[in-house]
Amino acid sequence: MRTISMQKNLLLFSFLLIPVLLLLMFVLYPLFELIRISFTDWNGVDAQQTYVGFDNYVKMFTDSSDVWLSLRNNGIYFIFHLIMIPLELAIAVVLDSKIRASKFFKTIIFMPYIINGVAISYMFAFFYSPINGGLNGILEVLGLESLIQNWLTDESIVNLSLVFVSIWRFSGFHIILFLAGLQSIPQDQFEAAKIDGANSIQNFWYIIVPGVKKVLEVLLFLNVVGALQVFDIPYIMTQGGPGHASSTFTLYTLETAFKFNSFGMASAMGITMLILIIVLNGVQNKLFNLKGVGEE
Amino acid sequence: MHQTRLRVTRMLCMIMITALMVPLFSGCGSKGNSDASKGQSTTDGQQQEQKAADDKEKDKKDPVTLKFPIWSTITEDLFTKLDLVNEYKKDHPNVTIELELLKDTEYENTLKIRNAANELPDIMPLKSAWLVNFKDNILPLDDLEAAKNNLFAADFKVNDQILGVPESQFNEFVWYHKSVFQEYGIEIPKTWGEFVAAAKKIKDGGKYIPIAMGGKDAWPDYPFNEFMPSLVAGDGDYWSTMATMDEPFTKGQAFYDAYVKIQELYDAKVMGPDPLGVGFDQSKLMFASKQAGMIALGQWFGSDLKSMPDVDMNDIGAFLLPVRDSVDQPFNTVSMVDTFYTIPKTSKHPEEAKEFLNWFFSDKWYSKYMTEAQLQSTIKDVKIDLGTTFNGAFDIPNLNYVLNKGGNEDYKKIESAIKFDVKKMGQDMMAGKDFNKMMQDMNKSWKNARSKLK
Repeated sequence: MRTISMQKNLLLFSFLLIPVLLLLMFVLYPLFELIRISFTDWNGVDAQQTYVGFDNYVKMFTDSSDVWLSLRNNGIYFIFHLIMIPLELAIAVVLDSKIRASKFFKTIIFMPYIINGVAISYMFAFFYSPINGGLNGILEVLGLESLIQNWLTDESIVNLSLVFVSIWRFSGFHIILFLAGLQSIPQDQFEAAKIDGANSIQNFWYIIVPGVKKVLEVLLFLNVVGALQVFDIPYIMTQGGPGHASSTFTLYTLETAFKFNSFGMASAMGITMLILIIVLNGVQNKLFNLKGVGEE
Repeated sequence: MHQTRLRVTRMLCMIMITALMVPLFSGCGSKGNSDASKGQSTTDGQQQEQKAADDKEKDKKDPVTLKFPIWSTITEDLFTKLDLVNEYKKDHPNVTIELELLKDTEYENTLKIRNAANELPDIMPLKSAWLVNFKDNILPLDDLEAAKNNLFAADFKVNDQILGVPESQFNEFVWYHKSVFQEYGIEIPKTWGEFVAAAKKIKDGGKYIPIAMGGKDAWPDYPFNEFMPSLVAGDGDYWSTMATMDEPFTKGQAFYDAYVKIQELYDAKVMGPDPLGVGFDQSKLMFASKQAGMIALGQWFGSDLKSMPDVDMNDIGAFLLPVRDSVDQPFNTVSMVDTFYTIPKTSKHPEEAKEFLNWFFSDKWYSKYMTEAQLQSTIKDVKIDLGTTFNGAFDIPNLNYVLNKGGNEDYKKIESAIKFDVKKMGQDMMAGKDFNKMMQDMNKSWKNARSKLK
């Protein structure tokens, strides 16, 4: 018996050895290295790395006001995506009902998500372009010249223009997730509700919303991560400009590391982002009191 | 039954463990093994043969590959056209030059990442401002023949050592369409005021955009936002000078005064309806297709222009950007020295790399290459024929060349601490950000960063 259990352990050990080694090598070691570098003043080139304690974490928020501007911009992405979530759920409910050509609409809605992010950014950069740009062209044709704007260069609207692209890209994905959640709700619940005389609003509130709580939890987490890490859209469309008006925390981190040779500071920013995501996600889950069906 | 199962499990176990362990250990051990097998294969008889072969080989040199990255497609085109690799092979049959084009905006980052992995190339061109960043990683070249003959190498010493040999020297120009200037009766401007007035005159005509500006990419505003402070100060190392001041963004200081002028130009709206919405590629096409009358760019733009179809080079002229207030003052103009050839300490073939640099800057290659590139020489006694485009551009009394430098270590520290980016400031100015507040904020953070200098 002893040999069997030993063999069992040996088998388990050998199966797990490589994945664990890979995990240690490519996930945990870089993470600890990132934490270590965040306490140094390393410039990315020198062999010398001096430990500076929490200096980077303090300077990050005090030396330049641009970091707050970048975080505010992340906030804009977060809020607008949050506002979109109920709307996305509503669209999913409509698509889940027996409407004509619902498959076609599902495909159309999901399409933006499978297009390459870089391609989308370029496409919209041309769409918003002041010279021969599509959006201003459409406004001109419709006789709405007064609405023509410098979509990507006016500091007051550049972030909204970018958020729109982000919503265009990710909403389809969210809707499909909701649809999957909706389809997992057993039909008998609706039938029972019908017998009890529930109307469609009650159906929505008491069956659909609790039914998709798990999906909602995932989406809220994705929203926090996505909003804090948004990178490709502003990087390609505006490079964070004009000035730092559309910069985000990730863009700012990248700039800190590679343009200004502060790898120590950039590592501190990476760690800060990790902490921010964990904290915000915790707060969000507490606020919405999220627990899936069956866990309550 | 039970025993058979046990045996099967044991066998499976052994197979699994072997399968998992083999790649792991073979990966670790491969180098040692191959070395060992090499050692075994050299028996006594073979050793003698080897010795004889070595003697023969002494005449022939071992094949060497020199890795040589570049950042510009223009350079790549020129090297291909003039066949750099084979030209060098003619003189040095054992040396192969391996060119690699890196994306210009990612060039420095790529080198930093390679440096972290100890994989820097053998020949490494750098911009002057990067010499300080890589100072610990590159070889001093004070004894190199090419460095001794260079007019500017000594001006860019770091810690009293020549670290790079600059390839070319060029000036910054305002390129213009002669026909547009004729149409509006505009003379070549000699002062900043005349320059702004000329742009306004073209704007009032309503036919052309006066100055093409690719503000979306930020960097194309460099002739104004990067160079004008040193031109107003008449000090090519103005960044280092700024690093000695607490509040360089104050009225009366060169930086502030230059930026007031630049703001005046941006406020005149002479760069089209939305300069920040236009990238560099679009802006250069706007100029080439005569939608715009002028564009401010370096001498390097000449070969770019020539390669574009449908550009009438006879209609293109160039003048030096005037920043002075009156004709009585000296006419300061930027002199850029660019593309510093360096040799990393990690190069496996430093001697061959040095030999290559000496060849590169010799008669066999250098003049031919510079003439094709339409840039001025950095080597003593080598004159390059620049054609007719720049005729008259330098015929200015009181002309004073200001040799642009990238700033010292103190400046770099401040720049990095406050993320000082003049090109982004240029974008902010075009976007109409509050100028005085911007200067006040800069003063505050500059002073703060300076106080923390060690």
